[in-house]
This record gives sequence, C-alpha cells and structure tokens, in this order.
Amino acid sequence: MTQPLRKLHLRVMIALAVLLPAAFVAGLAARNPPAPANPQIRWEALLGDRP
Amino acid sequence: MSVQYQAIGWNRQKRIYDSTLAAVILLYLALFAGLGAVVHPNATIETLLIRAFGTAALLLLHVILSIGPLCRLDRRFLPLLYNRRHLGVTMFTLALAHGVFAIVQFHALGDVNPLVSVFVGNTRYASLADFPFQSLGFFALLILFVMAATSHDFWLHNLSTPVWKRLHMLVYAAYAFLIAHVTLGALQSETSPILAIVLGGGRITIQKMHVAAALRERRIDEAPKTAGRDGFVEVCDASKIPENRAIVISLAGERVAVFRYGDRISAISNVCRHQGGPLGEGRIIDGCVTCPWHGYQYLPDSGCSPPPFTEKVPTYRTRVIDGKVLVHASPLPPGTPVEPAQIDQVARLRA
Repeated sequence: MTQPLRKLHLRVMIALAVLLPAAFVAGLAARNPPAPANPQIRWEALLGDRP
Repeated sequence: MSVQYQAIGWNRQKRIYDSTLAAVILLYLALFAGLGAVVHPNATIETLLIRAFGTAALLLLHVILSIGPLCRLDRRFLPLLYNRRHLGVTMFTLALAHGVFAIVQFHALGDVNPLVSVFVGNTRYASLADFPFQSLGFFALLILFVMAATSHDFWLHNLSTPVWKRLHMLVYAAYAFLIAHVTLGALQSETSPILAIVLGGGRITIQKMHVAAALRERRIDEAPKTAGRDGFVEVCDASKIPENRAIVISLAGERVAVFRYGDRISAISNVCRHQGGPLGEGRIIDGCVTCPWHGYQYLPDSGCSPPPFTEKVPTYRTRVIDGKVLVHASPLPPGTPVEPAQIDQVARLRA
C-alpha cells in the first residue's frame, strides 16, 4: 500500500537533489556586483530627524 | 482517534505542543525585530516584520521537512510528529503574514491591483539576477494554502489516505519554490554570506536526512523472504521479538508487523489506516497495537480498531515451529480474525 508513495517520494527527492543545487548556484552566480560606496553621499543628511 | 469530526481534538499533549510552538515563534519574532532594529537602525518596522515572518516560516518549513526522516532514524523524535499538522498550519500563517506585508509594502501603492502587480510589476522573467522572485513566493504560498486547508482528518478520510498523502507531497514543490524565491530575491542584495550559508546548509541537511532514512527503509524491503510450499515465510526466532513490540518484514512488497504479546504472536499490515503510519514501530498498549504517529489502535488478532472505532487492517496467519515464527505471505481481508500462534506450543510439540 505504501510502495507507490515511497517510489513517488524517491522520485521527488531525486528531482530536488538535481534542481535545488542548480537553482541555488545559478542564482548566486547571477548576482549583480554590489554598487560601490559613493563618498559624495552623506546618509546622515538624507535621513533628517530619523535616528 | 475519534468517531466524529472535531475542529481540533484537544488534549494535554496538543496543548503543550502548541503552547511551546507559539512561545518559540513569538520569541523568535521579537528577537529578530529587536536585534534587527539595533543592527539596522535605518530599517523600517515593516521591513523587519517582513523579514521576521519570512525567515520564521522558512525555518519552520525546514523543521517540518526534517521531522519525517528524523522519526524514521530515531524514535525519540516521534512526539514531534504527533502534531506536525499544527506546525504546517502555523508555518502557512507565518508565510501568509510575510506575503501580505510584502504585497502591501511593495505592490499596494500603485494603480494596478496588488496581486496583479506581483506578476507584472517586474517582467524580467528572462533574467536570473532581476527575476520577479515574488511570483515564486506566491506559488509557494498557494501550495501551502491548499495543504493547510486540507490538513484536517475530514479531508484525509474523504480524499483517501493515498490521495491526501500525494497532495501533501506538494510541500516539496513549495520548498523548491521557496529556495528559488529566496535565492533570486533576498540573496541578490544580501552582502553578508550568512543567509546563503544557512539556506544552502539547510537544504543539504534535509536531503541528507531523507537519504539516510530511505536507506534504512530499503534494508527492510530488500531482506529476502521466500515462502515455503505451504505459503509460510520464516521470520525469526520468537525470542527476537521484544515483548509487546513487533519486528517489521516485507512480504511481496508489503510491510507486515509481527507482534509478540505474552506467549502469543500475531501479524497485521504495518500500514495504519489513518495516515499510513508504521504500526510495527508502535507498541501494544491496553491490549491494542498502537500507531506511534497518532495513537490509532487495532486489536492484534483481528486488525480491527476497538469499538466504537471502525478502522480495519489486513491480518496474516502465523505459526511458531521450533521457536521460529512463520507468517503466511498472503494477507487476509482487513479485519479478519486470526488465532494467534502460541509460543509455548513448541514445547508441547517437542514433548
């Protein structure tokens, strides 16, 4: 009775073992480099009264 | 175990379980928002709450996905499984709060319907770095909603256990959507490696636990059992079965739980009628085989739940010859009474 479910579970696990690392690595590799800090901007001035 | 449907069949264990869960989640949300406000003083409370709810839901999903294999590997985790559905509904609620806050914050102030805006606000579907990751979260939330809405025993019984289990296996699709949602969303702008390490580590841990549990299960299925001419299969020495417990064997692809209680041996299907729980990993309590998952009970010699309950599982004929337990390879219809084999009949036969 549980054999079909166990087989389905196995197939799902195999699919995840392939898909998830691929998606994770591809997503990390596609990251845009962070914008360099702009020394001309003074955040304290832009924030106004906020702490 | 109940003869009629109730919203929640509260008992002491469920109250303790849910109280602990609520306390841990409230503590996590408070700590996340509090520490977040200290570390990122410019972050708005909305942003902190969106992240607090999102990370809480994702962490809880990891816990939920770990419970199944952990229980296969170590019985001490079984109490966690007892109320896993409440964990699932709680996780959906946290994810819903995350989604609603995010939609209100980022999609509700334009002239497009906020839900439509999730899909058309950013249409760079061909770009990984700029992918509209919110749509992935939406699909995950949709799956989690279906699962939360059908988590009650009413749906379990009306959909049938196999269909319900298949439906709830969609949790893995939701998990894949969420990993992609976080990878293409929060991780794109996150400069600290901590989130990436935690997310990658969590995924690896979950998959390793599932593989370990699957290998353990495979050993049971692959143990060769060949039937003799009379259709009986030799299982083991009767003394190898602990008192009021069972050993589990695989006969023609089906799991069978062989119980010893006193000087009697009975065999029933290993599959509980409720959620397919492993009856052979339970114990005999008050004369009944008790499922370790949710406490469903069956009489070992008939496979019937004690009145007024009506569940039945298949039974198997048993024998004990020269101290060896034998089980017939063919199951009898659910609820068929079978005279238990007597262990001490061996001595009588020898005499």
